[in-house]
Amino acid sequence: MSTHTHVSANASTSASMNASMIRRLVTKDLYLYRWFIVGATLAGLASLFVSGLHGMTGLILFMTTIVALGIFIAMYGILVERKEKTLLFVLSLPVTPLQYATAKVFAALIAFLVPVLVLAAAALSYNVAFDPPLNGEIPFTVVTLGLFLANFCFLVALLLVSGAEFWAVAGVVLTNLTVPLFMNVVVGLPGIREYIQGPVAVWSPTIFAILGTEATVAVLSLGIAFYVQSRRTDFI
Amino acid sequence: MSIPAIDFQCVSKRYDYFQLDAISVILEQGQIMGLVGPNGAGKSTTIRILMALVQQDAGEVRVLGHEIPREQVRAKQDIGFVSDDMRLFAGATLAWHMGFVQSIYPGWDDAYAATLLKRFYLRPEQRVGKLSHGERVKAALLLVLARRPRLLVLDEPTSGLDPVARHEVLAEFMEVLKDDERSILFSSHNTVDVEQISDQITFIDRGRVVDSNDKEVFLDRWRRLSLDVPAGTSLPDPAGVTEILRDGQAALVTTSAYSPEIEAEFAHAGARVQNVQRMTLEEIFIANVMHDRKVRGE
Repeated sequence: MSTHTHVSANASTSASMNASMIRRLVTKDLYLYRWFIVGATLAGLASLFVSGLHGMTGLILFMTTIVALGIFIAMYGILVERKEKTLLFVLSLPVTPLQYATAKVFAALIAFLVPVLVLAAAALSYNVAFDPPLNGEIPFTVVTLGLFLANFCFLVALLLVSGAEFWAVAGVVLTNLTVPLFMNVVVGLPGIREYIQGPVAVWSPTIFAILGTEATVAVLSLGIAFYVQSRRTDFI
Repeated sequence: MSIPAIDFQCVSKRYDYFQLDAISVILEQGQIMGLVGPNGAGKSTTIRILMALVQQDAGEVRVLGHEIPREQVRAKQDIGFVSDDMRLFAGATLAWHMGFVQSIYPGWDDAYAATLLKRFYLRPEQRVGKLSHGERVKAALLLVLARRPRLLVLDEPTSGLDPVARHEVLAEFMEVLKDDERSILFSSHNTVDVEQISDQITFIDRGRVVDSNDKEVFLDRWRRLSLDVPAGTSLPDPAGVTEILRDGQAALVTTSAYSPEIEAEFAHAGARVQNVQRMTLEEIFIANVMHDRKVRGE
């Protein structure tokens, strides 16, 4: 009984130690990402303002800001850390490589989602405030943001697994290619094209199917990255 | 008997073009071990296994009694690791790094950190990216030393440092060792640094431990004998002789097991022993490695 209690106490101490270490690494990354977060938020808000004056230019700037934010976070946070050997410093701390990967993913998601959610809220307010309201665009905006999130998760996973510049560039090219393809194909899909110009947001099965696919890509990418990391024997 | 600071038992790791071959090393607590080897010998691989940055294919590793890699988190609580190719975050200041490390290790000693800042002439408000190589190494050492870890693992820490910086760093290591329970594993190809501070030396070459012993034992046992060998005299080959170089009547004998009996054996064979020289650690290292390669037919 006492042995069991002792083991439980050890396990609980170890779990809280792990959680606190992950939290510190996330905080560390957020501190290092702080200018990307602030910069992307300001640039995104500016592009929304521009879109009020020149619709398409502002939209392109808005999307570019989000795509660039994702690339900067993934490249700076994962690839540069490995390339500049700061990874050696981090892994010398009391942390396992899997905990390191967990912290990396959490920090990257927070650094990406905070500005994106702020910008999404601003974009939705803008749509609603428009006269007549552009509510028909809301589901499309959401699936587009979902695409960016799925692409970001894919890129983070790819860099965690490979840590190589070649794959980083390949990942950036591939994810960027999906954006024009997505815009062209998805706009014309039934369940989207007939409502996009309308005054009411219609959440059709097509929208949910796309959101489901994006969620699957995001979860699968990160899941594979965690699996690979857990099987790895060399981390430097 | 206390738990060894480091205990490697038959540890192997295979890469495409390199293999760490059943390495066994023990470092007792309170000791400084110099891990000496040429570039590519396996020093960094050994240290990376110890730090769980790389997992061994076979063999057992225990650090401060913790099994590696399984208990790496607990072990790393008490290990301070600095490597010459380790970098801090260029965009952050040294003060930020100190705060970050302090938040992780409850044993952080503020007063000692302040002393080290003065001693190493570092400014906490300076961004790490603006530091010179020497300052960067000192900053990394400060972050490690101020935690007062029980084991310091240093992979080529003095590489690329100017003589003054090297002296400051080595002096700090000696300071650390005033505490009997602290240990240091110090890898270098610079035998002068290793000779200066180590209690024990392990020579490593091509993924194998060639020899491991107390520094004084190496320095006592290895000698070079200059002989005058009259024509027609054939020299004996006493145990421990690793090399005999002959040039006419002159011969140079290197031995890893010097004793007056060896001199007597050569004299008995007709050679005249002209002088017996102690060897530097560098000479011992080279002779040891070359002999090992010869024995293995490499």
